[in-house]
Amino acid sequence: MPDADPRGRQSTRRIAAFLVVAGALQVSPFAVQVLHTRHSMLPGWRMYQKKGHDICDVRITEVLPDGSRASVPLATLGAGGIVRIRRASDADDLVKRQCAAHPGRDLRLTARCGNWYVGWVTERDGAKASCLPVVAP
Amino acid sequence: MSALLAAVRRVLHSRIGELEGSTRPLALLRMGLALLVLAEWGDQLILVRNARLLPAILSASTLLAAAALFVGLSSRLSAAWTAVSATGVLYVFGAQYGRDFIHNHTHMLVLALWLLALTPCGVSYSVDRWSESRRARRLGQPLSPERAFLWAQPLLVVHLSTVYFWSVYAKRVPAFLSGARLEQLYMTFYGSSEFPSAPLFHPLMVATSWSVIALELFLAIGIWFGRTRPWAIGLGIVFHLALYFLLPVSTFSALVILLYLAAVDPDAVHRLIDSISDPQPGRAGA
Repeated sequence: MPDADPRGRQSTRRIAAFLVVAGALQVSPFAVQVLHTRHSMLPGWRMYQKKGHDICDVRITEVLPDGSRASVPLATLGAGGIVRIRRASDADDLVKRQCAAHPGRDLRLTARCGNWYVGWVTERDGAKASCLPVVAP
Repeated sequence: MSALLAAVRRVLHSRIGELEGSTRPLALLRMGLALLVLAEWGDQLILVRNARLLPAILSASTLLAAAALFVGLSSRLSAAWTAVSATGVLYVFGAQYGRDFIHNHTHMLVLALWLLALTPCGVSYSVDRWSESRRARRLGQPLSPERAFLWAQPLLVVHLSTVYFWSVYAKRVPAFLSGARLEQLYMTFYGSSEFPSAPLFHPLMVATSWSVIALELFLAIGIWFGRTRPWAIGLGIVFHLALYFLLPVSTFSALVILLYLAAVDPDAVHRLIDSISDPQPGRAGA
């Protein structure tokens, strides 16, 4: 039987191909973002989500003898230059080095670190003294 | 309901199934994507970095395919060849170098190559065109116009919209909505672990976060409609140039800006090129 409208049928075929490919483009991000499938070869289009969250917002304060608190700039703690602290434990190490160099200081550490989902997670709240009291031998 | 279906069918036929137009934008896209493959991986694919057999074969294949794609030698085949090779590069080099090698923008580039292979990307500005013109001259026949059915060209726009839409979906998390993600990016790339003391810093990051979400949503949708398309493309170009300047995004910005070409009316691009071309071709050699 001769084809009544070959141009129309071709057009329908192109539309079908278009819809199939357009649908296929949604499979990977749907699998990654909705079904939480993990595979390095499946793009999820979560642009820049893995970058830049390994940083902590660190504040160090010193409790002075009169009970007042003074902020201690990170650059003055011997770290030198721009200080980017990735983990709260790195901030602990920084403070401990200060404690060892200047025994008797009452330093308090506040640190909140980056998390891709919630944003900032408080890991040190500055409530207790970071320098352990020196125990006499 | 049936009237709605009929309207959808009409739109699909006119915008996809029977879409016919100039092939020049696809030719520009073909050359641009080939250059982006070389810009993204060229240096990593040279033999001195990949002395082992499989990576060396893949590297040579990708470089040759990208060169063939650029000049338009068996263009559609070259596009498929480049797509296959680039996919192989992602797999093999990704396994070798880990997640540092595999990025969203490299996936995006590879997918764009696969989609390009579905298009008549070699009808204009190509070795294919050159050999066809030689044959036509030899046979005394007129050269076929630079036109073809372009049903697959909007797939490149679907690709763009998909990336924008799912990027917005990923940003619905508290980290982004609260401005924290942008604060972290600022502190990582420009600041330090001391939170900026400027009182407007946090409100600015919150406002910027929501603006980015609104903009990406607008770009995902606005690029499809004639009235909003110029705004979408204009804002998108400014947005991606800003990203390129502010953050290490490699070839991502260039790729997105290049793909905007797929959203523009092909005949308008053709006319624009005509309007800036020499009206008497061949005069240069006289």
